[in-house]
Amino acid sequence: MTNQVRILVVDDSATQRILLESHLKSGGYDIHTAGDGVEALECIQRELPDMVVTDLQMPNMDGLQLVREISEQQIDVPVILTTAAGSEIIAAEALHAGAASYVPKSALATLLLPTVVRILELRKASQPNQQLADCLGSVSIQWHLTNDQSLVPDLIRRVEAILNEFGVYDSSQHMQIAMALDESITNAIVHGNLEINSDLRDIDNGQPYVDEINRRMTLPPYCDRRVLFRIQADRNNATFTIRDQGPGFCVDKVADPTDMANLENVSGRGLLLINAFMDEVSHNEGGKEIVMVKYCDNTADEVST
Amino acid sequence: MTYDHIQTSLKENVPVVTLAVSKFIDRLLIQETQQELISYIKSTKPEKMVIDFKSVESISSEFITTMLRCSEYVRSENGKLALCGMSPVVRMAFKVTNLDGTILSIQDSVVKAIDSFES
Repeated sequence: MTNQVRILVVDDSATQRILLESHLKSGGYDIHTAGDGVEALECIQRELPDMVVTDLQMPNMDGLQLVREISEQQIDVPVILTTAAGSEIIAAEALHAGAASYVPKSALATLLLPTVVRILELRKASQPNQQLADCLGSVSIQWHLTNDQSLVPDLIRRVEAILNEFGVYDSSQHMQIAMALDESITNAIVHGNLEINSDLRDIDNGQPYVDEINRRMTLPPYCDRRVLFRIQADRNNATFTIRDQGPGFCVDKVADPTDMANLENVSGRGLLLINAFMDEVSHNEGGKEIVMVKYCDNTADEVST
Repeated sequence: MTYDHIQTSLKENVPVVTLAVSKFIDRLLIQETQQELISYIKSTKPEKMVIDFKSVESISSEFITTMLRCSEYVRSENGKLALCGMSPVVRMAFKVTNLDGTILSIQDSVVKAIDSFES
């Protein structure tokens, strides 16, 4: 039976490609080929393979550059390198850059297939069990965040992983959720807990703004404040609650950033993005809490009708 | 000079800066990218310049501010800046903030961005 796993073999030598193909075909994989890193990236962008097996030394874009490009573009595909004798240092660099493993060309016949199988198994083990995800009913988790903004991207990735298990949002909606969460959590930290004024961003390319954030992160009472972040999600929608411990603000007093007179001011844009990307947005009376709801497509249709 | 977060090239003699990061929501990353962009603009003083968003999936309002700063720097040297290659979600962020077509020129592709300088 043909295995559905799709492997992209990248090598500038046609002979070597045929050799690699013959080793891999014995595993029942669907093999596609490319002649260099540039061609490989085009193939990957057209259709994401389950794995890339690439030579290190190639014209145009070599294997190391290919690994770096895949990593930089955050393409989720494992890469195995085939290495000639004497290229161990470059292979180590490639592993550091994100390659999954490497196989010496002298041992392709014995090591390539077992390495491919092992990497694919590891990958499968690290991915959520879809059958289990299909049984997921609802999720409610909350965090009490410190004012360290470097936590925000990781928190958003965590939220994305949770929502991915429901499988009800497309990639564009995930991006919208990510951007709205980023704005609202950052607002809660910077303007809520640390009480930093947006006007500082207009001075010296925003350096005083960054400096003041860093100063207040270690200064009481600001440093003791936390941001509550809660996600409650099911197959119909996700509700995000973000509450800071600052003095609060009056939403109505934020100048309209879309007014031509305010276009170059820095404040208020975050709230616009939140309102544009979420389906429902509300603030509590004291301006310390924002609640945002994102419907999945089916629910959004029902609400609009 | 080498850059970590941008790639520079020339198309029809117009500098094209491609943003090499997919998600501009990390503060440090935004700061570093802003420094690289401003340093590039200050050193080359371009009459025309394109910033290509083709690899960018998401941005924050802080990165929108970075684009406004770049626009200011280019304009201060009597230059023209055009942004291009945005995904629908990223473009929406510029649209809802009323910057698309007002302060910032946003085009679909690098070719259209270069053409827009002639009009």
